Amino acid sequence: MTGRRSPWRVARRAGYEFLHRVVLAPVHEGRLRDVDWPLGLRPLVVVGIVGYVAAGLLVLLSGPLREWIPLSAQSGTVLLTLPRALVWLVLALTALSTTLAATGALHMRPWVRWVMTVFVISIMLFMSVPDQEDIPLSRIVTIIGCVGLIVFVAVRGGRGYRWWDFVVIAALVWGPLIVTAAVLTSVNRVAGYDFLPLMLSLTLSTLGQLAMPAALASGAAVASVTVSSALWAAKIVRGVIGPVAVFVVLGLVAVWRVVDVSLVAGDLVADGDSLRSLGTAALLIALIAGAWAALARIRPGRGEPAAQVMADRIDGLALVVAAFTTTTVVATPVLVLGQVALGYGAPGEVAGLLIAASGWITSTVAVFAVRLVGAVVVLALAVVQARRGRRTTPELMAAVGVAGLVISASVLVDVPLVWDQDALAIVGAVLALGLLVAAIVSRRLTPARATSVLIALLMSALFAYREFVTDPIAYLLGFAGGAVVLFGFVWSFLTGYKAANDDSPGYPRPSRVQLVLANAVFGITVLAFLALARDPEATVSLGEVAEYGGQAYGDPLVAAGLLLALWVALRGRELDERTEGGPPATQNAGASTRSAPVAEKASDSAV
Amino acid sequence: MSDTTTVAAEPSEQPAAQTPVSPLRRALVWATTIGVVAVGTLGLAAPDLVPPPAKGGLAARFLPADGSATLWTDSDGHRSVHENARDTGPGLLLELPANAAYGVFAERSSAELGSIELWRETVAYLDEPDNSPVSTVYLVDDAGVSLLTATGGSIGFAYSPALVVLPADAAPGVAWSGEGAAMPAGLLEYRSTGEVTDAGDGCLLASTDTRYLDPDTGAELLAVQEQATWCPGRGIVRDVGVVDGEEESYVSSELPVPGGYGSAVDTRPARYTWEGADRWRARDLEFVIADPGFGDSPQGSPFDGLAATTADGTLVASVGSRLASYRVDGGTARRGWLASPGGDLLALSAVGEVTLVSTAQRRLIAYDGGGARLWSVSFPDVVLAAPAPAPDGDIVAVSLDGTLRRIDLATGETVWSTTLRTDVATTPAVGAGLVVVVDRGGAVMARSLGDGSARWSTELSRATRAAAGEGVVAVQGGDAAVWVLDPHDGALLWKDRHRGSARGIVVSAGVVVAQSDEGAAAWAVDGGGERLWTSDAGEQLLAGDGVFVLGGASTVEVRSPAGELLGEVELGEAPLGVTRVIVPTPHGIRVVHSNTTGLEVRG
Repeated sequence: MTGRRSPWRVARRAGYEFLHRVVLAPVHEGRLRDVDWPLGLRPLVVVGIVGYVAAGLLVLLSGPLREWIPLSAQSGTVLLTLPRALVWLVLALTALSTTLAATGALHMRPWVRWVMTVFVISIMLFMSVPDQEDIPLSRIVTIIGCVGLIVFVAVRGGRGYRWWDFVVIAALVWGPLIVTAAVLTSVNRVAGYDFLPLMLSLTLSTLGQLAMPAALASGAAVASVTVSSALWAAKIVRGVIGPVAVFVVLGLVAVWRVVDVSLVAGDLVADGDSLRSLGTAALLIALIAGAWAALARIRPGRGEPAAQVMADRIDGLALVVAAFTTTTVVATPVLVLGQVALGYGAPGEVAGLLIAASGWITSTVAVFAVRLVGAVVVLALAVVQARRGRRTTPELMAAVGVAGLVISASVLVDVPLVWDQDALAIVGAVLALGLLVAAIVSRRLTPARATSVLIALLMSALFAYREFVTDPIAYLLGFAGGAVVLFGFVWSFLTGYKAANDDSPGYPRPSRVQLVLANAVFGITVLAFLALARDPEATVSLGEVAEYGGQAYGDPLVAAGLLLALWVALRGRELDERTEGGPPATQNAGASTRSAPVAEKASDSAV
Repeated sequence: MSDTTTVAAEPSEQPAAQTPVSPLRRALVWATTIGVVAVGTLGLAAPDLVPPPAKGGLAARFLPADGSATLWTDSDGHRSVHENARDTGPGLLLELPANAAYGVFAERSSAELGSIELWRETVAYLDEPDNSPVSTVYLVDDAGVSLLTATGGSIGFAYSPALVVLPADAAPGVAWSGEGAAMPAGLLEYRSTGEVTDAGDGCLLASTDTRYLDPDTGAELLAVQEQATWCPGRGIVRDVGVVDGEEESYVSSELPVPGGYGSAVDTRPARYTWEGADRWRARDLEFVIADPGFGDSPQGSPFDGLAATTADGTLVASVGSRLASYRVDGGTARRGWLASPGGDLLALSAVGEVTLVSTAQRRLIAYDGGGARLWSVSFPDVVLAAPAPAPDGDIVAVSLDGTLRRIDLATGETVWSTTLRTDVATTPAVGAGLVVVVDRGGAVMARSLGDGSARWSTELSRATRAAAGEGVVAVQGGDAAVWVLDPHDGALLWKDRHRGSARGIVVSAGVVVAQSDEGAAAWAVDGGGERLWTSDAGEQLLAGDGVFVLGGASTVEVRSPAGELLGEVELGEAPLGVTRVIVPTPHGIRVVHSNTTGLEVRG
């Protein structure tokens, strides 16, 4: 630092640095990027983004839209009121995501290609089931479309991306859907029925389960922002403003957390449930610490994981783990097949078997047994990664695996082991305050240690007040539970699709790009439907799913962040001081444009 | 430059070489990709957004909207409220007395009946409460708007063919004539002529001369000359006629919204003591369409699963997105007034003599004891839960967007209104000078009952609904958790949990009773969470003065606050696919099934 710095310039630089580190850099690293995209992929991405934005606007404007547009009511087990004039748009977005998924899988490994084709065909047949006319035009056209799709996939599958693949598949998917919608509308309207909202409701209430992995992963977004905000707020205070400022801010935050902890302490001691929550939160941190210690023993070499890298990677890891451990991903296609079998006159036993199988797969025991197995697999992968000398990813996997084990076990054996998010924040604050007091008493409160303690305290504080991220959206939406999901979806869309920029023969880049677009558009379309219907139970309660995702993926990230900050503070160092081979991060704060993930990637490559 | 033809290939393939792409080809690819999605989207939008062809020709635009209502005043100053229902399909015909509807069904194929378009006008008399409510059904078809049936009066009419009142080519100078039967079985015939003239302001004056004749002798039994002024979207706004030489005239005006009609309305919530529950027994209830002209006939239309009871025991139920009232006498429920709130009905309740219904048209509508529409209040979103009674003859209602209003029940005037900006789907709890609302995210918000100002709020995981009374606010969670809060500041007094998915919660006689689909549990309000008693009844929960009614799958229990079983009645299981609703009455309870059967349970 040279020359006299005006407070305004310092504040502006700190603000920019914070924005850059917490928002811009993750977006730069994680968004879809035009890396040698072949001809035709760019317009597809534009179409997908337009669809995504349209669905996002439907979510954001759902309140006024419900006020301005006449509602149609669907009575049944769920009372659904939907702005009638927007039904076609939600259907079109569903068709777009289906087409993108089918096209994306076309040139992937054969099993992916054919599983996706069978599923898309099931959806098409499912939507044509309501046509019960003497000459069922929509069924006939749908069957022709399905045969066409099978032939096209057989002929073109695995032969490399061509821009017209999407055009052909779009014609095969949208054509029958348009005929079905036209037939059902013309037949039912003259009889005074309005069938299209019902069809949309039936379709999305069935397919909506497929948005669960994305919704689960979205639950981690708030934790990710919390961790990186705390990390960079403290680092920027030290790097941009100066070490003295760290002590000042640390004092203020410490007072704030002491007051917070004191305020809730009475309630916690008076209430057995809260005490148990505190205990289980502490247990979670202890178990993660134990897992990390085990990883450290089997990993060659020394070094610490990087908190920022964990925050960057949680979206991708959560999506993958959720996709492989959410039983509805399997149950929904089975259910759709069962409904199709029923609608197309297959023997009742076949349909009954499929529907029963779908029900069994989604039973609580099956759901959590699969999650338990998933957690064990994630822990095993963490060990494998650690044996290869990798850092950060094994630790993140271990944290997620431990949390998954605890959650699944508590459900399966009915033992109340699940922690409370507020309790986790309190435990973090208490540990950080304890460390701070110990450092002051022993006169070892160096700027580096102070920065790490400040990070831990800020992490616990921001996590305790995590609604600061979603409250503005919630106010805008006026829809409980929708804000967390919308924020998570958008954050994942902007930061979590780095893997789609990679390429491999079995999973080529154009396919990755189309599949992540399909996933993103479908997820936000389901959310748009829920927001427009203003009924969290209309398909799948995405808000509750995201809440679970926050617990399963967000909490372990926060626990890991707290643990890391406390560990390096104990060792008198600053968190993410070196990002595995990268330059000192504090020195970088305010100067370097090289982000932690880049350094991590370089490190991983070197390893 | 990234827009190349580079493709990722299978391992066996050689990667395609990057070749330059001409701007024209690139433009073609862009246009084709975007075009196919645009065409697909338009293909879905077109059949959905293009309205179906309207029946009734030029006359169709003069018809009033579904759920609209007007105030009519006759030449003697007597007032009545006219409500309009529009429907496609035979639903409105099924609500007619069997003798009135028989001819209509007999003369048409099932395909014609499936797409038949009807308009019904119902009349509720304000100043002549003893008058029987009259209902007129019009057919809207290629002939225009035609009178199909007139029921509720001492003489009933059923026209075949329907008597044209406004032709399909309705325009000044158009004339028409018709003849046919005016009653079933050829008891009465009609001959009619009419012509249309301009009435100004886009309205038309339809002058008709209808003669009712004895089919055997040809003698004229009744002559009606009528001059009806039809205005676009409003139906008949002025009607002047001579009936058998006697002049009559009517003029319509907008309903006073809000404000009421100046007549006394009983807004006191009913109180149920339910004494002698040990003698309660269930007897079958028969639903009958009673008509002075056409006689009694069994009700054919199924109920929609919404029902309520007014303070005097009148049953109000939803039938085909409309309302019908029933006076229960012994084992017979005889239909009384009909009402057409408009759109699909979402929630039905009653406070005092007033019936309250919310609709998908985002309105909350109130009817007095005679079925006259008292008021209609629009909300920004639908009201999904029944409003809660409040002191001073008011109610508190909340819409799905969190618009919370205190409304004068008699007049519909808004006492105060506030916006919570969150989605609320359950009935507010009123007590201790507070309105307590629980949103779908588990936020519990207390507002002042006096002016709607914020008092306190708290977050309770998965909280779904609240009840207030006995100096506490009790909140139920979706997972059957129960929290009891201090109404002064929302502080937690105690909490507990029973099993199952939450169904309802009440606070009465010093006891909190919460019900889930797996049963009910009760706690003393000031017992610190110690459970008093449990029950297996998991279907419905009603609270009276010092007594609770708990409906199970096949029985109804009556319990004292201490849990003593005061009475138990076997109802039998509801048939598969049939919705069962239990409503309170002054002497017991009433069970209404959607398949038009029911039970009256009392001593």
